[in-house]
Amino acid sequence: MRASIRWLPGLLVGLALVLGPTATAGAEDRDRTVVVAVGVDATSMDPYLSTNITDKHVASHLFDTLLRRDDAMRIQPNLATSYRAVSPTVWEFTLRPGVRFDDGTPLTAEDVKFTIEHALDPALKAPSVAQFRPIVRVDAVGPHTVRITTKEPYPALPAVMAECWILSKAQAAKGQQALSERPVGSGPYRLKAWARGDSILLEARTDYWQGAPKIPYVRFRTVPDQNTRFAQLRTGEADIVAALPPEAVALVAGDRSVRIARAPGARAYFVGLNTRLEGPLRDRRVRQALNHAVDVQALLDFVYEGYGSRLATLLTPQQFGYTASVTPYPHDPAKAKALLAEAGFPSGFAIRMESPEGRYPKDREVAQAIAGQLARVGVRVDLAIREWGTFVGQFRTEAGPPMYLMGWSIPTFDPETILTPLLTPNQTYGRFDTPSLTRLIHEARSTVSPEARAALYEKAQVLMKEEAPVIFLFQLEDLYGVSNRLDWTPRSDERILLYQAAFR
Amino acid sequence: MAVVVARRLLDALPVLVGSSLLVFLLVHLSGDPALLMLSPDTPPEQVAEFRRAHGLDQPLHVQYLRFVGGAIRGDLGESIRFRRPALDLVLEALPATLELAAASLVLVVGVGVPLGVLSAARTGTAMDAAVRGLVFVGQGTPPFWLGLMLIVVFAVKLRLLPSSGRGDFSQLVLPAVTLAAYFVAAVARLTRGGLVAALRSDYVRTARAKGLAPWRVLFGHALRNVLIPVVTMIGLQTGTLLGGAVVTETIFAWPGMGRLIVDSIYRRDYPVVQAAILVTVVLFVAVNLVVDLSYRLLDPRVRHE
Repeated sequence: MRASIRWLPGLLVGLALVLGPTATAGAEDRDRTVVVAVGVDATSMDPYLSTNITDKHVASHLFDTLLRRDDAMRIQPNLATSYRAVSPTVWEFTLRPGVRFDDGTPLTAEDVKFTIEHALDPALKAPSVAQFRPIVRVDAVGPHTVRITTKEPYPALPAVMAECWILSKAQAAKGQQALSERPVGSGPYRLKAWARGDSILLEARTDYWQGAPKIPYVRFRTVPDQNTRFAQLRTGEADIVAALPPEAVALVAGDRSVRIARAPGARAYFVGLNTRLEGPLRDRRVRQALNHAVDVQALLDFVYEGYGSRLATLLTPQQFGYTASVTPYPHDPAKAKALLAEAGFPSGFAIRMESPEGRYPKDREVAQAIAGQLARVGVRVDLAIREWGTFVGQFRTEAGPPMYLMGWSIPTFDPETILTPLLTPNQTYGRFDTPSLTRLIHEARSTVSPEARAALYEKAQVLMKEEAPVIFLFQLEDLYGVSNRLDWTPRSDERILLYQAAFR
Repeated sequence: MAVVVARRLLDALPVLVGSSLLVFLLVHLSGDPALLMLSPDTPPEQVAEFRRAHGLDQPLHVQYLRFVGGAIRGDLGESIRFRRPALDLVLEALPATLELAAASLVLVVGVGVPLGVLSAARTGTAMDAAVRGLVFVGQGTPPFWLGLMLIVVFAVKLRLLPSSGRGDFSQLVLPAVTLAAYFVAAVARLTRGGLVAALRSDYVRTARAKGLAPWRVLFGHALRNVLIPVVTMIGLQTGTLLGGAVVTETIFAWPGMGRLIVDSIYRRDYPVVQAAILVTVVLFVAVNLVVDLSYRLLDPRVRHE
């Protein structure tokens, strides 16, 4: 009898011991390690199999890109010392000589060629390389010269190259598993240990071509719960915590060991208006009325405690071609009612709106607030709140939901990656198009001269406001909790980069 | 004995098939991994290409039969997210889950049963009232709240224990207590209830009349008869714990099966969900088998049936 009770837990303990604790990623010196608490573990060490932001944080430490973005999100030379458009469809990049991968092999044009071909290889089934698709050919014309040919003129290419981490061709020869688990890059850090689901430890490379990092170790620890991440910041177990909720700001006010750091976020939030479906949204006056009806500043003030700013269109100020001359719709319920009456809906109408829950900060709350504001001008919103997977599942069909809340992140900071997918025909999430705007977007996307292109995007912003294809909302500020022992500034592209950080 | 084991294993087959089919349908009908995995600027033709590449464009029954065909050969497919065998991912998460389950089981048996005995042996005393109070609190406290409170008190305020993560023993304490709290209370209550009834029964009166020492009456006679429901409950709980404890694992950043399953459901990473459910069902069936066999040790009547 006694045995029977005792051997059950005994068996489990035994099993746990036999199977062993997963390799905990070394007990390095806490004083020399920056711990970043992130919500999800990395997917793969191959950046082209990336599915989340942690992958990108890690890749940015292990690998270098041809071009990089500075803190103001301007494109700067990096592995490439210079680049030029040889013709509207051919770009030439000159590589910096003397850069070496962590295994000692030199980084050459062949590695660049391999990397892009790898990303586009159908066998890889890469999830997020839509921006690489216009590339048709890569030629290593010399050891340090690469030519990239695109199908049609592709002015966003330099922006895309700021997101193109260069892999080692020699390492890839060992197979995909080597790329996915044992990365060899030319970046400032190397992978020291990866305990899946728990943490990733990076170690500084003293021979990095731009100089050794000041922080010897960086650990990305997976902490899925927001409250626990916040607790880790307070206990000193974590040095950087991203995506703090606005209410956390007041909580750390009295804590001298931590501070709040802020950066304008990369996401443009909006409510999509589906004009593929029959209904009132097909009338421009109705769409304008909805823009007048929503009090965006009130949403920012009451839902986000003021941490954000209004957007006049889908472009954020950090994007190429943004113009401040286009101003947001003023909040004017009377005007909204008048426009609705003019369009033939004097007593409003009923419509369904979809919102994800748990995907964006306070997504459900903001959707409810928008529905409430629209009700005041007679638009009766039937709000459906769904888990993210179910939410996106609705876009499998051509019809899609009538109205939907989304936040669109633009990693390239190029308007092309938001305007084409949202405002031209035959797209996954876009449910609006109008010939004049489509023509303008297509023209801008194939104009190589930056000045001419910026002028086209300025026109597009004017027309976009006029057409009101969505309810324009806001960009939020990303809030970070940071340990006061650390000198580190957040960036607008959501990347947590420690290369330039230092202990105080 | 061998016959019993064999029959039980056969019984498990329909459970396996049924649960895998149910999970397969639920997960497949509720979303689409392609849209979740691909960046939003991906045009529809590339979304379709991705679906084709992963066989997601096939009719549901074809996808299910492919899965079953693979499973029979021991191949549970490859994770759409991680591009690694789904079973490997599950088996990597299993030790963390076993560790946490074992730790909380130790608490359940080591604290829950003695509390119940103590309470039953001292019915009506302050001790009994205290245990019953604890039981109410333990069973009534939701784990997400208890977990956060433990973090606030022991990690943030007192700085006695790490808030989360897995590695050394100190990191195991808070999640194990959080997970065990409910079960400790449940087992204490069950033990107390059974024991109070047993102590009033005729055979206990006889034992006492024989002049047996009180502790022998309590442990050798009364408790023994209470153990069958207690062991059954512990067994069922163990089965539950082996599937991973989603809330506790999430709060304490514990890299176990519960989190893997829920993450995979959210990302519609079908193969991982399937593999994890299969492994959980197998473990559950195994634990139940162990519980059934333990009846034979605990109760001679079962042995002689």
